Amino acid sequence: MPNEQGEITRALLAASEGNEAASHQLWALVHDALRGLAHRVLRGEHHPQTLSSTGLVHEAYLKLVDQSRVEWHNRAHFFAIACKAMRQILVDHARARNALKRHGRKNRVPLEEALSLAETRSEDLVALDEALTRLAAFDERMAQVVESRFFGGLTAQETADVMGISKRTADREWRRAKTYLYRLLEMDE
Amino acid sequence: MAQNPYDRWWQIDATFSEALTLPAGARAAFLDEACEGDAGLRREVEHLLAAHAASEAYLEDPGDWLAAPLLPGLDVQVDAGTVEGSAVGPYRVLGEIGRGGMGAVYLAERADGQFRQRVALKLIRKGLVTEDALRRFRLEREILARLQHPHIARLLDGGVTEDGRPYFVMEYVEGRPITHYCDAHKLGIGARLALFRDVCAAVHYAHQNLVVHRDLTPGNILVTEAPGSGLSPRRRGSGQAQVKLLDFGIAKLLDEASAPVTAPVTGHDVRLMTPEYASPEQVRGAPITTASDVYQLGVVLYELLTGHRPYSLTGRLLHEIERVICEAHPEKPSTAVTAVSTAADGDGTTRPITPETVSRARAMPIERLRRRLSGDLDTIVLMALRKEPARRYTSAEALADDLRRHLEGLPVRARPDTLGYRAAKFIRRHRLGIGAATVIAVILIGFGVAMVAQAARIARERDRAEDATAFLASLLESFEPAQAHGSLVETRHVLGRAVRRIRTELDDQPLVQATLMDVLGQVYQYRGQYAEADSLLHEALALRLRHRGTGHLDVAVSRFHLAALLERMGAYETADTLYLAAIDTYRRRLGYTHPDVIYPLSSRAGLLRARGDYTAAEALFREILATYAEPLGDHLDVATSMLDLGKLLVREERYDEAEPLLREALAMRRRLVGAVHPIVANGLDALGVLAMERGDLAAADSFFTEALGIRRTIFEEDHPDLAASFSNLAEVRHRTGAYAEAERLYHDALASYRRAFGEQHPDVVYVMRHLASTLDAQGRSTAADSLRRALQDRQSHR
Repeated sequence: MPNEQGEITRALLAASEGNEAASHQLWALVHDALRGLAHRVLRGEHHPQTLSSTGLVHEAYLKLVDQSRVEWHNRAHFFAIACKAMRQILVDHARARNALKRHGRKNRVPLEEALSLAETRSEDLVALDEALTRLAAFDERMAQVVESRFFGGLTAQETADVMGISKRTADREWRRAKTYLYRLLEMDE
Repeated sequence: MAQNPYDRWWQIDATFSEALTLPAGARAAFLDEACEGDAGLRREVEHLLAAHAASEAYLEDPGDWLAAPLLPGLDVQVDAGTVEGSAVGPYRVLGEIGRGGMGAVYLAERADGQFRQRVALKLIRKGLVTEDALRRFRLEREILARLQHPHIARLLDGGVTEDGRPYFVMEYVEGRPITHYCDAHKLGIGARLALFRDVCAAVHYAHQNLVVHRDLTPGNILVTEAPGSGLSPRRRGSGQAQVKLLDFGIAKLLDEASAPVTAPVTGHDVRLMTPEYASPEQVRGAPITTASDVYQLGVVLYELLTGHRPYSLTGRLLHEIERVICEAHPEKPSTAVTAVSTAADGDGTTRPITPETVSRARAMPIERLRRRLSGDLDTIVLMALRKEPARRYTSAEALADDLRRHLEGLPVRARPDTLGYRAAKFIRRHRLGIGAATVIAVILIGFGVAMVAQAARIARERDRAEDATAFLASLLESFEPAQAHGSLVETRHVLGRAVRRIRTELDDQPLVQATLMDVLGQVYQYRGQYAEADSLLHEALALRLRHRGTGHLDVAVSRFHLAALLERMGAYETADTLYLAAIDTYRRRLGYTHPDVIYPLSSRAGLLRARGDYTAAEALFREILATYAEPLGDHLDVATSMLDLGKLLVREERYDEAEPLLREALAMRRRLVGAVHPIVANGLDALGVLAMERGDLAAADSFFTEALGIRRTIFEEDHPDLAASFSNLAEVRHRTGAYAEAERLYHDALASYRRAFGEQHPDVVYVMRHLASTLDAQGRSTAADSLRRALQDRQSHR
């Protein structure tokens, strides 16, 4: 871990300066690390109480970044990346579930699951992701707010910090984003 | 759908944003102006305004989307703010226990240092603080506050958090779902039933407080482990393991309109029920009543007894589930234990359920388990699981009570299906040329002796010929109608063969033989074959006397059946002795005021009347009614007593006293068994007789005609009751002067009686005499005379 932490911290610092190569590297490292964390949870190895989307992103930050060497704007950068990565991981997973379902796999989904909200949500999540991509084409800021709050699980204040805007603005953007997403998904039906 | 639905994004957004700043009332006017000439713009902005209103709680709960099954075990901290250690009122949250439709349940502790009581704290979900959710949450609190019962998790406290979310605090129940508990402790059937009856008591209590649980699953029925008990057997009420019902969370007050079970998909309440335990009315979205809880209790009982659930729904689609729950019939519990199925455990795993696992979990070999469950328990469980709510047990208490009766060796109230329901249905469906008796006979061939033995075990608790027919008729369920056609001769043949097989093949099981003979004896009697019936019932009695002893209830039953037959045959003295002996035993074994004593009592009263001892008969009838009519309400035996008393009064020409009794008896019988039933025909006969006595021939004609119609539907041509119907109607027709019709009917009666009884029977003589009168009335005195001469000859040759 210490090695990984050193690597990521270095990449983070460099990326924050605008180093493009470092940006790529940072993305790859964070994505990998997060996926590892998420998978441990997927297999049920983590105590349920300590983890959630919020938990994952924060935990990743604590583990992967050497606090002593970064400043708050680095932190913001990291969170932005982590939220994006989280989104991708979750949606990929949902897509995989959908594919499995269609190809009728060996261990079938138990009934309770089949009928539970979340199973439906699996497909909804993919749809939501697509709608979010469309939304980003109009308004990047709204999309980022959703990434942070929904996929990253950050609080309103943290989102504002990460995006460098006021909390009031962040709240307003969140509210608008929800309206547009709702409408976009509605139009799809 | 286009990639870019908003090609004028900026314009739509600007208009929408501005409209938002205005109060709702002013928006229309604003849009008139801003969207003038641009209907498309206006439409989209209006959609967005609607979406804005609808999306307030949208996406607020990522855990809902991202949690299990995507990330099982994850999720939990979605309620950012309610983390371990945080305070809710005077309680400190220790961790999350579970998650429901409206909120999460946390393990918490009183933080004010007074005592470290652990509680379950239910808190409404953060994203869900809408008016509707608040109302439902408050409702739930009120419901729980009303319920104070040792087997229901108690409400301890409630309040509102700092950020305005209501919560309430319940007794923390640490235990396992009842099914797991019973399996882990390898509890046998008796112990499982004892626990289950406690559950019924709790549910019944809730019902009496107008609360329906609506989600009675093993997960909501916990059994607390007795402290330090290890594997000790359960004892009642001594602080050891006990049942606790949880989560009346989706309970609904009965006196409010029920919410639809299938909520819109975008709402949070899609999963309002666990499908495998859902009742047909829940699945269909029909109103939920206490009967729905009874059904769910039936499912739990099924699983407790057999290890399987009544329906296999794993992997099925929603509409299939609906069909299965609403239409498919579950396997009988005694059969189900031999099956293999898979169960899903809700945590993503499945496990196989086999006869071995089932047998181990009940500490009983599978064959013994099968026998234990067959008969009463099968019937009880299936009654609770009936598709039609009205045909299940009327209450959880009734279900528990029948289980108690079963455990105490008493007859249970559950019926597989009575003649008035199923056989009548079947008979109506297959009218042509078959009577119930023929069908029964063919069944005996078709299923063999073993099947009859099965049916006979149930018959042992029945005291009536109609019911004997009924349960055999209930075997029709899986029967091929094509096989049901049979000539009269063949039927006797078949029955005879069955009797021979019973005598030879069951020599080593005298009690089973006795039961089967008892059953067949009743079948013969039902068919009017009294000689065969006599022989079989005597044999059954003898066997039971030898193997059960004279004070046993089985012996009383045999005596009673035999007495009824002998009475029919005219052997009154012997019949009376038998009745008295049977009644005495019934009273000793069941208690003086037990309802099952009525039928023997009223039968005896009928005998007294037949013997001419009217005073004693009337007194006995009145005594019966005084003892039983009010407590029992609508009851076949009460109706019979009423009818018999009425008939007695008719004999004594006390017509005005008789009529209300007869009418009520008929009405009660109709209420109990439906319109097509032998006993309804009997009731009509009585009214017909009354009408005749009073000289109201038109009414008499109508009653007898209806009775005849019923009997024609049910009986074969050689049945004496059918003969009697012909005869009754013939008499009326004769009196109204319709001699030709009367003659025809008398001939029909004679034909039947002869086949049933032979030439010497009083009824045959009676009919012949009346026929002679009718011939006379038509002026055919020659024929009349020769008939009378034949009669005299016969009688003098006796």
